[in-house]
Amino acid sequence: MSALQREAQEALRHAVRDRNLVVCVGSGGVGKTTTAAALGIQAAIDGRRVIVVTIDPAKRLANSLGLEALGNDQKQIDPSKFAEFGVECKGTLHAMMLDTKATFDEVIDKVSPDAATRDRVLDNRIYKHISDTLSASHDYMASEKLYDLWASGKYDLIVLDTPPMKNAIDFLEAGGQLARFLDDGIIKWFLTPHEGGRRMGASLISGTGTVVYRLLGRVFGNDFLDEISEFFLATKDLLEGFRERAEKVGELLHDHEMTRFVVVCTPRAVSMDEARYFHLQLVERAMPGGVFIVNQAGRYAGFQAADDGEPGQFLGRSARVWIGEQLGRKTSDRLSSFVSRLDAHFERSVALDNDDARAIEGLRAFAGSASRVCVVPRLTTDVYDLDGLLSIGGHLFGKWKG
Amino acid sequence: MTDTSAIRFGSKRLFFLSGKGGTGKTAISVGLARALARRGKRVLIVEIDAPRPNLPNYFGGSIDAQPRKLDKRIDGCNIDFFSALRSYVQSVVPVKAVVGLILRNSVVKIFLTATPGARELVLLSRLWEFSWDPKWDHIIVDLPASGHALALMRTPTLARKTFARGPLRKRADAIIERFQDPSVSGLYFCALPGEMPINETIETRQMLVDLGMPPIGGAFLNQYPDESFSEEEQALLAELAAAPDAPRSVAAAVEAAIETRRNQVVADEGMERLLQAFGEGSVGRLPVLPGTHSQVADAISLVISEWV
Repeated sequence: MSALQREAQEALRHAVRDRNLVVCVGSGGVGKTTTAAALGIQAAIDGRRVIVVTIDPAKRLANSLGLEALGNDQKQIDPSKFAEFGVECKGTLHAMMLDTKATFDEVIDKVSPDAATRDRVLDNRIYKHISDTLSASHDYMASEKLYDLWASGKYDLIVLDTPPMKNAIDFLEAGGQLARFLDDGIIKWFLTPHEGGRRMGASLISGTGTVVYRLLGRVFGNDFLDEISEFFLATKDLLEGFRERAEKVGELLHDHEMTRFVVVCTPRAVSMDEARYFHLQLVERAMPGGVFIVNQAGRYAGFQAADDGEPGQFLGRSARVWIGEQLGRKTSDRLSSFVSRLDAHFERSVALDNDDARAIEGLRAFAGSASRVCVVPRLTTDVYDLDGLLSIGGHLFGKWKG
Repeated sequence: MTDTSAIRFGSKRLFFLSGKGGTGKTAISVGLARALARRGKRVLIVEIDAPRPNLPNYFGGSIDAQPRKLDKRIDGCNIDFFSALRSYVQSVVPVKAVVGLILRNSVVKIFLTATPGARELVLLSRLWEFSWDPKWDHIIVDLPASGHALALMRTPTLARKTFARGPLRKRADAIIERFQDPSVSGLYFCALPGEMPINETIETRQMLVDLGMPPIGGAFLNQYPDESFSEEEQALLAELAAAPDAPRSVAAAVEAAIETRRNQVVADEGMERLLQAFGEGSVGRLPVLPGTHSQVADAISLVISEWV
């Protein structure tokens, strides 16, 4: 194992042992959920009170941890599950799945001054649309739930598995986006009595406002404007609460003592591009990043061709002799074609895995010497149980199991 | 290539490609474009509001909101929100000075950036405009990753429910009429072998069926491990794997071959399930391909050339 890999493992140990929040980010299909679970499990074994917040857990993964199904509520993994695999869990492990709509409703409930305001918002069609389908809501609610769990003081460590992002910035700025959307100035503008005082809450009558309102009506339709106006009316009392919470989430995400972002990727080009981009976004915002986990890395990278064979052959003369000894008695004519096919197949495997190794080297060079890149080899089977998660932990942390 | 591992495309004009990140969506988009261009068709590849467009990885240079030439008979663009908005506003308000007033107004900007659905509808509206342009025989839309793609496609239907009348409603109707026509458009999923990715593909397919737009065209099963060993050879592999003291090279080569075989069993199950969900002639198999972006897309285009 290389010194670089050991340094990366050290950085991951440090993150789950000393930080309060570990945020796993990356594009879809890179094993983010599995990685988040493996990180959380190690911290729990080590004695911390941990919750893993996931977006879309594999059902079998939840089941293997003894959970029927994950919902928007926090569920504890039975310590006996750990005992089954001969591991003592000194801390506790909880898991929950993020339900955007339910979380959004909870937030509205929290920031509403009274039941009437809350119900007006919850019934608004624009609100229903936003809370259910708008992609920015998913990102925003992930950060919202995070704040909630952190503020509860129930956990030493929260591991957050973020939604797959089209654009990494969405998550980092989701709170800010929503706050801007609900910005005071715009609300006042909408509450101005355009079109002959049709709007209620009239206080300011501005000429430009009326012109713009008419134009907006022409371009986007009056129904649309009415819906929006109603939504703003319903939410105007919630602004302060939203802004406060968005600010606190922002502070938490920027706190280098408490938080660590972990960029999860695979050696595939698309995923590597995303990882680099996300890293740059973190650097730009002075957010605590600098740790990468590369999953599904090829195992045969750097394998050398045989020195006792034809050029480029991986199965050289002595290897072929050995195979002949093992199998020769049964097959004769078809043996050499089998060995050639085996050799050609392996040559291709090595070529693909060398691509992986080059990509990882490229990532290390890109990220610089202050960053850490931890490589997890491609596993031969899908991970669906605690045993599998523990073996991933072995790659993430070295042999360390507390 | 047998019949059951190819897609019959018919004469569609609009190809929507959807799939999770890393499924090879852009490589397949480019491969399909190259295959069509080779048949003399003029093709536009569209990315939608991509913060970092993928097409330059395949063609070099850069792309812009306005279509530009990427290769012989292949154009490309990345529809961005403000150019799409300009185009939409112009189509509703033909007076240039007023268009400028609307676009420059800061309230309008924030309003549209943050208002649910408006952004997506305006982006789709630009795509709808392209779909009528006689400059191209085919338009290939490299959709954002599946969750976002679904949200995007849902917007016109939502707009229709929300607005009884008005220009946005009219545009939503026009988009639906165009994009839901199976003789014009089809949506193709890009999936990787593996139980989870196949499950997700089938689930997303069902959501789009419920949505009713765009019509489901089929699915690509990408990175299919196509080097197969006969049953007799598999028995030999098993025997070698069990033999003690194998030379390192033999042990690794045998392990890799057995892994491929295992992956193939998984992939075959996936293929079977995709065929059940999508129907015969709607699932195309693409092999595992090493190389640069462009090499992979070229290799894919050679496979797809047999299907178009």
